[in-house]
Amino acid sequence: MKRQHWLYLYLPQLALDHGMRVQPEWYTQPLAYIDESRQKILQRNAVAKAAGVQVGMAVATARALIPDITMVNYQQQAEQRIRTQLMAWLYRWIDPMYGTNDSDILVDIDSLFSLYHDVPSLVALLKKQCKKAGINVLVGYGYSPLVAKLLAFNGIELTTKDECRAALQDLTIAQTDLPEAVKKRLNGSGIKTLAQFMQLPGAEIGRRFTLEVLRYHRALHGEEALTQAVFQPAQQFDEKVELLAEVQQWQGLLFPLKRLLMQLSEFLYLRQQSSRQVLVNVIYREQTHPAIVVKAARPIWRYQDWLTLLNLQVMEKTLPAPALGIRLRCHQLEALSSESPELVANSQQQGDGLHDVVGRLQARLGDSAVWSPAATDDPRPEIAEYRAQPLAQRFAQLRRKRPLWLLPQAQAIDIEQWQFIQGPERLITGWWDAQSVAREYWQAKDPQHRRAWIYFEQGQWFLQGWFA
Amino acid sequence: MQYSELHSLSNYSFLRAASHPDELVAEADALGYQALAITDECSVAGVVRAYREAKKRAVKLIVGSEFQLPEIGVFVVLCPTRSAYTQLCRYITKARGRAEKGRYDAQFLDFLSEFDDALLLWSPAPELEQAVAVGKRLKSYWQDRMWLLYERHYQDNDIDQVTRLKSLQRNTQVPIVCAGGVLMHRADRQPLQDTLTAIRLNQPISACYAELLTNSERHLRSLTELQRCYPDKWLAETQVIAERCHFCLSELAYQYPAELVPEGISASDYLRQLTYVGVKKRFPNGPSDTVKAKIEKELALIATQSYEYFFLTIYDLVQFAQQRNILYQGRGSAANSVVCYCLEITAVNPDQIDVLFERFISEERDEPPDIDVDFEHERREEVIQYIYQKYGRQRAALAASVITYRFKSAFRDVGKALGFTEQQLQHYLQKIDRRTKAHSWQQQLISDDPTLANDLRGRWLMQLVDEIRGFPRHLSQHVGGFVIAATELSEWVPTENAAMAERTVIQWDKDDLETLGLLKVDVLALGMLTALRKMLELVNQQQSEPLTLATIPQEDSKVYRRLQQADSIGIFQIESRAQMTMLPRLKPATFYDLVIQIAIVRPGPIQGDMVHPYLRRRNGQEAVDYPSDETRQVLQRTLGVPIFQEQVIKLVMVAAGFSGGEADQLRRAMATWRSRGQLEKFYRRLVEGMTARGYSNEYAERIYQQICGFGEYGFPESHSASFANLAYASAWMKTYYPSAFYVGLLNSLPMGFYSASQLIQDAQRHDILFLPADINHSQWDYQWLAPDDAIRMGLRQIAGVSESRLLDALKQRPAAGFRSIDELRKCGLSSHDIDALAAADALFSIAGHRHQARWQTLEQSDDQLALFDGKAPTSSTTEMLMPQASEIEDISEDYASMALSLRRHPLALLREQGLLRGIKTATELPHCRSGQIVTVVGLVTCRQRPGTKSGVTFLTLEDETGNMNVVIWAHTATQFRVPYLTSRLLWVRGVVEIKDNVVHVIAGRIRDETEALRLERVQSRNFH
Amino acid sequence: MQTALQQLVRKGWVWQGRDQQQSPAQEAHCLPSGSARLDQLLGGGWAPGSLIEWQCQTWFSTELRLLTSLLRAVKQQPVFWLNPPARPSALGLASMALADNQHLVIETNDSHQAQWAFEHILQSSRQGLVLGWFAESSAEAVRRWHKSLTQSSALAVVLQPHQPLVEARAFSHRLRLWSDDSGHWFDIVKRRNGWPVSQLAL
Repeated sequence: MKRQHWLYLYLPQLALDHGMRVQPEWYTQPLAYIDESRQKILQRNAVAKAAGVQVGMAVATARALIPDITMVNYQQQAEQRIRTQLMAWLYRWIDPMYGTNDSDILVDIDSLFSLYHDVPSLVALLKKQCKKAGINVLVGYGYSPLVAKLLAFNGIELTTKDECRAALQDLTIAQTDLPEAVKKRLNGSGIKTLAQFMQLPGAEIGRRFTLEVLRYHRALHGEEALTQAVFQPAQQFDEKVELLAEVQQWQGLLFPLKRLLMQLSEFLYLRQQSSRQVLVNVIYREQTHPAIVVKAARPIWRYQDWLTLLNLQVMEKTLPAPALGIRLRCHQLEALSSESPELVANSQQQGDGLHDVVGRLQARLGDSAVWSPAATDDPRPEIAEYRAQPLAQRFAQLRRKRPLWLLPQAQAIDIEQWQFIQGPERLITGWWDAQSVAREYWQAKDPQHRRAWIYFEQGQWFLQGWFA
Repeated sequence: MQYSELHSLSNYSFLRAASHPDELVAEADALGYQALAITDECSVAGVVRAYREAKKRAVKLIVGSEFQLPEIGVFVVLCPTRSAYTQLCRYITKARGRAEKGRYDAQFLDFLSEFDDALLLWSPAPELEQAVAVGKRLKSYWQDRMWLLYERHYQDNDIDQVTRLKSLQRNTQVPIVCAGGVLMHRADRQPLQDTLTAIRLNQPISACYAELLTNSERHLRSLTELQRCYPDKWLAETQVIAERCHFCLSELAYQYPAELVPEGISASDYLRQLTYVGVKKRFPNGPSDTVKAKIEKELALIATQSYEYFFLTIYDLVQFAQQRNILYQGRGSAANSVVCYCLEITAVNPDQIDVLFERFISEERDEPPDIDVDFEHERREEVIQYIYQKYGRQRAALAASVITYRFKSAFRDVGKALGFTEQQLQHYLQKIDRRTKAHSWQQQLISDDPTLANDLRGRWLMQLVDEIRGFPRHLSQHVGGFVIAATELSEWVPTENAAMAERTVIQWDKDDLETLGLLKVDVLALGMLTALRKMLELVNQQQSEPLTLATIPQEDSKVYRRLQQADSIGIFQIESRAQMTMLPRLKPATFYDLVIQIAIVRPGPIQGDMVHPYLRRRNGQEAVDYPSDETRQVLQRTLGVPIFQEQVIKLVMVAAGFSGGEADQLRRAMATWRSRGQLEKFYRRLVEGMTARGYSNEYAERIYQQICGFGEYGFPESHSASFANLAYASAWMKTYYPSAFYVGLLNSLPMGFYSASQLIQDAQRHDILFLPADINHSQWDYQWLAPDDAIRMGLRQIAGVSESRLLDALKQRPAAGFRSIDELRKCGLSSHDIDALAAADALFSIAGHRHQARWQTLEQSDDQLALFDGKAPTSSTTEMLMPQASEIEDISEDYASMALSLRRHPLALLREQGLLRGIKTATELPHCRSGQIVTVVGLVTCRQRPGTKSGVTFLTLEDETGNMNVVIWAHTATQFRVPYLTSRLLWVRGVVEIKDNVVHVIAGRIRDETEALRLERVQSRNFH
Repeated sequence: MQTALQQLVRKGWVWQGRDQQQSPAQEAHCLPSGSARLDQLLGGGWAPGSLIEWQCQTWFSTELRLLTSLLRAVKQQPVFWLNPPARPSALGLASMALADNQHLVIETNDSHQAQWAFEHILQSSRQGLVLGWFAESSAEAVRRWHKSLTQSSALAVVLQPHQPLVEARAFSHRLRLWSDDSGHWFDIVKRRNGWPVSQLAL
């Protein structure tokens, strides 16, 4: 029996809505997603719309209208990942669902009539849930997926087959999503409305246009085969959130992290499962840092528990670089068992790796007590050296002669008793920030014959480090 | 202690070094160096500028170049003799030729042969293991012309480098010499040097610490610093090397191509002979005594400066153009020479303007004359091929044009290097108005964003942007500047691959060639010459006695009356909106008025506010006075107001006692931005000179302000005169042969100020009939159907049609015309071509109205026919009848395919439908009362924001009756930002202003009406 | 309770004859001390899995000779720095070509935590080099450290200032290091397979 009842959820600005939901401060500032290659506006929020920015407008014109508008490059798979999250959320109420290739959602509602007895109540439910998730949606009903899509695109919300057939008649060719070249040729031949197009005999179209146009023509008459796969909820939890602007410290990450953890507890609760470990990756521009492992002594699922454990670990940590996004993964799932109170794992573990030793030392002594020496390329030694996350060493490319030991604050010394060995190495740089330097470094021996690294700046000699 | 710096790079090693060549030479001289070697990376592009500075200094300039070889190290090649220099030039040409533009490929083996006379300094790469083996092989070839190079910049590994070099010296017996590896002339250029590195790596500074210099040692160090840094023995060695170098760029005296002068006659006699042949032609009834005296004076000066070949080379080019009937016109300083007029190089009759020969050649300057010759833009390539074919690719090449940092590019690149985001920079750039002289761009920036003043990055941005301006970024091709040599070019200047295929460009630009006194010819393109030639051809088809540019009747009052009514659309140089508003106020009546009209509507005179005083004096509202008799003689023809550059030069000579040469240096200083400092120097000299001669201080001050106002825009009278020739010719054509005039223009587009649509509407307003494009009647070009004085549209106007395929098809068109679309396909037209023709309604005669025609063309257009239900596609027996296009659909589809429509103007339809009640048309405006409130509606066809301080914008609105000028003040533009920026059909309510029959509407409120009609292709041309 | 003999052996006052020559296998993977004289006295170098004490007159002097050769010997293995007197520099490690070890610096704010940390590391780290700087170390602490090292093949070094009177500690080797105008010297206060020696040039 041909399936004749479809709902098409048209999500005009899914990426934008989701982005603002995750970082609410963007509701009040002009924001737009742009097509970077064609320099066109794809999605813009209410503030930008009020100032005259239209979809399809050139980026330059939009910037002329709102000089300080923020523009984000639209990424198709990022939006499709958000669409999959939305489908996982709607999965409680409806199935089967299909993800279309321009990141909207198609629902075959033949089987759902037993649950929701008529189309309007189903449409109302879907709209409510999308609104809760902060996502703008237009829902179109139709007797074939294409018809439902066209009606949704043009904001026509109907409930019966005949109403659909009638509404189709007065749509124009311009309002369809036929390719531009085909639209031009049809208009050029005087065919301006969908009704005129549908009345053309299939053979005439077959002779003048490609196969897709013919398939489009048939779909308008109700014959359409689906190519996409039906949606299956994922077995493992792996979600990512891209931030709209770079975040400097952990506080900026906590809000999006909380949302991810809430999604995780949703995911676990639905499946009556729990887990002992999750991995949190902070995404930076260039370097990649190892995942933060959040371990619980017993399997848990509530997001509050995960949040406290995570806070324990990251509290006064500093982000090595501005963060662009966060990823949360949870693989080993266990059945939801009765809970035991003790959270932190006891210490008697057999032969763990370095991570575990570090984890325990930090748990006891505090995070900042354990670190690995690392250095950037900054020519100024005391600025280049920094305390990196344990085992995440990063060494500068250049191999300059440098002492094994470094005194964080150089100590003033009395140069008389010192004996120069080698030098000078002149360092004049750092003009671009408030810590510019103009020094002459020397290798020298102190009265106890120890080999040191000293420098002269603005009339005073300083000890910076010791050679091995 | 004597020292010579043997290894220094100028900013012609693009984005590597932070000082101009002349700055390096000046500093080296000040520090008391014996010699300075400019050794840019695989290039000698900067040595001529260094040479120009070195001529004025004691320090000796050594020419050389540096080559980086990845595993081997750095080779610095110096040129002791002329032959060494030739070997270096040949090698740079070869190394550059082997790599794509902007890069070079230097290999170790090359340095074992090609440099028999040069000197080599070798700094071995740190990671090179078999240094001794490499050293020995080099030693066997270079022998005593080779040194090991030690450069100490107080790094951590200095000691290891010294010990390594000393052991290498022992093993290879090659002596050691020290040098600076200089990248900047003073230490305080280190921030700029770091910024250049960041720009080169396309990274912010914070991301390229590893590549930045760790200190500022790579600058020209004082002798005491050098003594503390290097052992005396190595310092002395620099002097040994410097003394072996005595090659100087002056040795590149220019030899002109010999084949220009026939055997047995000297160059100057041959030139005299040709000149007097010309005199008979140019002065049929004999030259006046003054002209004859001028000719003799010029010929004598040319002989003493031995510039004969220069004139003969240009004469040869001009003769070629005449034979091939290519219209041309000499302009530039050459237009001041009577000899050029006789040799038919220029068309400016010396009697028409008072010629200032010093401007062309002066003893003091001893630089060759610089002649620009414009050719028809469609046939310039023929002239260029003639040059290559006559002199050969080894002897003729394009001069370089050095692309340097302008304000915008400097601001963007420096900003990015300092870590500002793209959006911030874009935002700041919009806030800075480069034209206002009131306060500097830095002050404008701070007033917009006060935090910048105390933000460190902001302060550096404001300093570094000014420091980097004028820095060269890369070499590109001069548009038409050719250099022609007697022997192989690469013997005295390296050549590189140009962007265009098999075109070579030399490493020196126009100024360099001038400094060395080398011959340069400018072969430029001018669209109007193409149009004029086509007009002349059309006219000569209608009349027996052929008309040429030279034989067009001069000083015809009917032509000047047309200009006085500002009916100047399509006329060369005076068709812009600003010119059309000036014509009725200036009312040109003679050729010289035209020369003034062309020069006066330019930023120079506007900013030096000379326009209003001149107009007041011309209309008798202000007395014409001259501060002295000498100034009367100079400013008489412009009623006492200096407008031309020559006048400023003559004024300065006459009123302030400058010599001809000094005056010309002032002109050159006026023209280049960077030498603002030199202009101040002239200020003192000018004011003293004038006050000494009894002129009031206030008058001297005013003249100086006018000179600064001229700055880059001062327009030479000779240029203006050459252009006036063409302006008059095109105005004459428009008066006597309007159809030929419009067809000539339409067949030479794109050029000039107006689109085809605007030209055709102007023609229709001069009641010329246009016939639509039709496959069976039209040609590729527009045609003038003389019998019924109509113009048949050309198929060239249809977008998307291939010229070559259509020309073939038209050749096969049967006398009775094509009968079906299949016939078109058989003649080779593609389905795309046919579709485009149908869309433009050009297939009316064979396939009916455009919808029907388009539907038919689709029929066989898709080769993969749809296999529908297995039935074989039957030919369609029943002909589907497509709906006829409505008028509005026809008009919008005309605009879509041809950007114009011969049908009614879209606004005529709107008016007919009663949508424009109470709206004034263009023709009604002149009859309103000045000061009356009016509303107008029209298509925005032109936006212009000239350089006035107030930031006003001139819009042109077009309706079915004509064009209207709308003025939008800055505050109105910001108040109605969206319609101002984006609308195409604009509704404007404002005050109409009429002054000596020039009509403007000052916009009060504006509204976007584009929705009223769906027109895709009406483009507005934005001129800023 | 250990027998009196075991205590004597532990103190190094009594040793079994056959221990004299380390079996070639044992000697093979001993870590070189950086001085041939000292290697010979230690029976081939530092034996992995042993707890050593270096008493230093001042920091950054003689001990750095020994430390450098140890660092070079434990390539690719983790190195723990507990409360070092100054900051180990990444740039310094890189310029000594020691960048590919995994270095971990631990800073505690009191000696009790330090002793816990040292013990905890020795318990859980199977291999590598564990360096601990201490003002002084009680016998009890040293014994706990020694016990934690039982199954591990890590090398533990405790660096302390000179102790006035040398009381017994459960270290397997104990050295006193100092330097003067004429060079660097060391005493072996205790070693597993021989009598103490004193005043040898490094």
